Amino acid sequence: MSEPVQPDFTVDSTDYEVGQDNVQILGLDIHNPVFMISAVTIVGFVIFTLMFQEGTAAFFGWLRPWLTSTFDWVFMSAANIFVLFCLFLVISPWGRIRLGGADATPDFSYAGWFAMLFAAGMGIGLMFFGVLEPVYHFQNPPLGVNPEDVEAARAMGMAATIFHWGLHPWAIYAVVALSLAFFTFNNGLPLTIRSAFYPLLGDRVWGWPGHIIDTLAVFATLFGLATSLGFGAEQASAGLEYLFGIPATDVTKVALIIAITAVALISVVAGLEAGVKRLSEINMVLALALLLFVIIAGPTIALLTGFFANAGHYAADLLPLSNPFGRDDTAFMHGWTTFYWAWWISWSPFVGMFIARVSRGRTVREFITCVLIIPTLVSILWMTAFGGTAIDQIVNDNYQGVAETVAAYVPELSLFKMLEVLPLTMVSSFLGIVLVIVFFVTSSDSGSLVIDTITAGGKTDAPVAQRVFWATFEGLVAIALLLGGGLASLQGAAIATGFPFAVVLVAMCWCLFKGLRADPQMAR
Amino acid sequence: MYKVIAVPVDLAHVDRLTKALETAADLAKAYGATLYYVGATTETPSSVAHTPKEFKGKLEQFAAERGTALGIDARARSLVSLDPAVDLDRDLLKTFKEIDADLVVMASHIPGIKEHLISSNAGWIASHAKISVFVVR
Amino acid sequence: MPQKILLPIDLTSPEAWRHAIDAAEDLARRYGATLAVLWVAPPAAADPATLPETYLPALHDFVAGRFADDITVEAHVRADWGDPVREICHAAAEVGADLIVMGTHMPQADESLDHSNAAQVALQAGCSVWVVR
Repeated sequence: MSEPVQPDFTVDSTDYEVGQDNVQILGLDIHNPVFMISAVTIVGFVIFTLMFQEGTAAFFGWLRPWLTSTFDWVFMSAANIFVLFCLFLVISPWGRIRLGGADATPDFSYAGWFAMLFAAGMGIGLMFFGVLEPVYHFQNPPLGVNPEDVEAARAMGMAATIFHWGLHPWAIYAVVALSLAFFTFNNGLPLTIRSAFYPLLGDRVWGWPGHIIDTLAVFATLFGLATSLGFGAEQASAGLEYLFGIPATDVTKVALIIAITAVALISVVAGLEAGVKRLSEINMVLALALLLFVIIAGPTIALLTGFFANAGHYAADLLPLSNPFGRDDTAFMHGWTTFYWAWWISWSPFVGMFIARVSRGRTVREFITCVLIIPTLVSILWMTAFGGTAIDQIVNDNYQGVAETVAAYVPELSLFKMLEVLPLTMVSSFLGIVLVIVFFVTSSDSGSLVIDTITAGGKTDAPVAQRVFWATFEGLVAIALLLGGGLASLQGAAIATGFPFAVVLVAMCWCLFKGLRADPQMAR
Repeated sequence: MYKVIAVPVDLAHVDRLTKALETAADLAKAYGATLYYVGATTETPSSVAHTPKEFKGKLEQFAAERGTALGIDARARSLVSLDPAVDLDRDLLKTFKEIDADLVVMASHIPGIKEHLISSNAGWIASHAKISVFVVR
Repeated sequence: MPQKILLPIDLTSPEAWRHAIDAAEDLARRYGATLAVLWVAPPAAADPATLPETYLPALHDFVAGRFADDITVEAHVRADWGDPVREICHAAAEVGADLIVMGTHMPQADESLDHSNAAQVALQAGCSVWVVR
């Protein structure tokens, strides 16, 4: 089993040179089809959406739910495959393969590496849904649990939430990240999404099939980021109004987008280490501060024991929750699970590529432990702290503040309502707002770097002007959609790409497996 | 007068760096100095090499060839720059320090390539280095 | 290799070009290049009509005493109108220099950046520039 198969692709088996399809115009260094098609398609989509708002809203408002309902089994089976594949790899002999070759050393420390991958992969959602989702599932538990049975509902509420933020989303990211890292660092292929399909498509991957894959990835990433930014500005602005009375007007929202984009620009111009990594580390410190505060200010003992209890509930309910067949609670499954899976999958090219870029020198085992297992543990802790505190407030203190935001579905206020009845509200809420904004910045800066790399044909040393272009462009698209009305439509479009990508990612698993088996490191 | 001369080279455009390379070789011979060809690569594949290891090999081969042809003590020093578009010059200065260079000989630019596509910025290095810098035009 | 080397100095502050002059002399000797020593005169005495008469003799004396006969040396003086960098670059073009050798002032308080003229000349000149530290 540990003999390598005859390698049918190695560093030398393709003649493709990174950057060979690039053109240098106007002082830029861009991949000819992908850059132009992406930019033009994005502008076209935005204009079309703004002009035909109702039509596009109706169409994508229909398309996305239709996909996530009709093909629920596709999304869920795919995600299950990713989890199993990752767990398999971590215990398999291929776990010892090192990214970048047997003598490669990691480019970043554990702390910096983990900060970057976590800040890119998650964050914003944790802030808003960390409070709202556990409470919602507590009140409307899936899998037929009786909401009147407080303990059972609480257990299921936490388990269902952790299910959505635990192994499955991180496995989705891990699979993409590992594939891209492996094919780039161990096989010398360009750092683009298409490279992961070289085992399947051979040299055709440098032509149109590859152009389509990369363009779709840019499309999903840019619209995912821009619409998140737009919605995020709305949510942050609602928070600011609630906390500080700053009116939630379009001016406030646009100002927020501009501020976030400006900081992201400073970050990408400062570069990967001085900008992106540093900001991610600050992000982690602030998040840790808020987490510790909530644990200490909340029902501390209950939360600490809750961590283990919830991990147990998660493990117990994992199989039933991941099962797509014969489910009665389809409202839950389609409204939450498959929606999330589609969302994470549509973000996976971006998050996956960014994690790949910073992961050289790690073994497959190390990689999966830190990209899958540790973030899951962090999510369990986070959800326990935030959601557990919120549920405790309802059950033990009969505090309805959070429950009201859940009923009205106003996620941006759930967090602040929970913090309101804890001490030092102004401080913690301010920290919360700052953290939300910083999480947006860390997604925006890493996303811009990823789009820049894909549209430069895999080059990570393209002129700085290009990354500035993409970061700015993303802000502009967010502003246009926010003001013109199209955020929901294009977020729907971005998430809809999760459907083709779900299938694509399963193929990626197979390509990765084939690649790992052929790696020279297995010969020892 | 000088013991270690550092020469930043862009392996992708070696043919356009003739004057700088010749000047460096002449000075090395004149002062009996060791010449270090310094090259930077990304951790991801580039047009020059698929991996940093391959890049190192190519740079060493380049140094060996020139050393033999010119009769000087020519060595290679490769470095991996994680974000060269932003960090290259700083990373180069760090490397110059590591090899104890007391003179840098570099081309002001690569003819025919627009300024910002080039690897390193001679002006920045001339301003920020603590050692002598010979900018070749 | 160079045929004409421009060496800008300021006779009133020799510390700045202590090493540069050695390097220039060495090159001139090795390659048989002509050394053009340039003094960009301080603004206080900048009157173009009287400038050469005032400063040239001093420069000639210095040059005669400093350099041996085996290298050809020229002496030039230019007025500093506030932009010595420009004067140096123009002078290099005028005398047909293909290399400028310059020293820098002692490191300033801000060690990280050399704002000296030498760095600026390295950026702006039309020929090779050797910043000697």
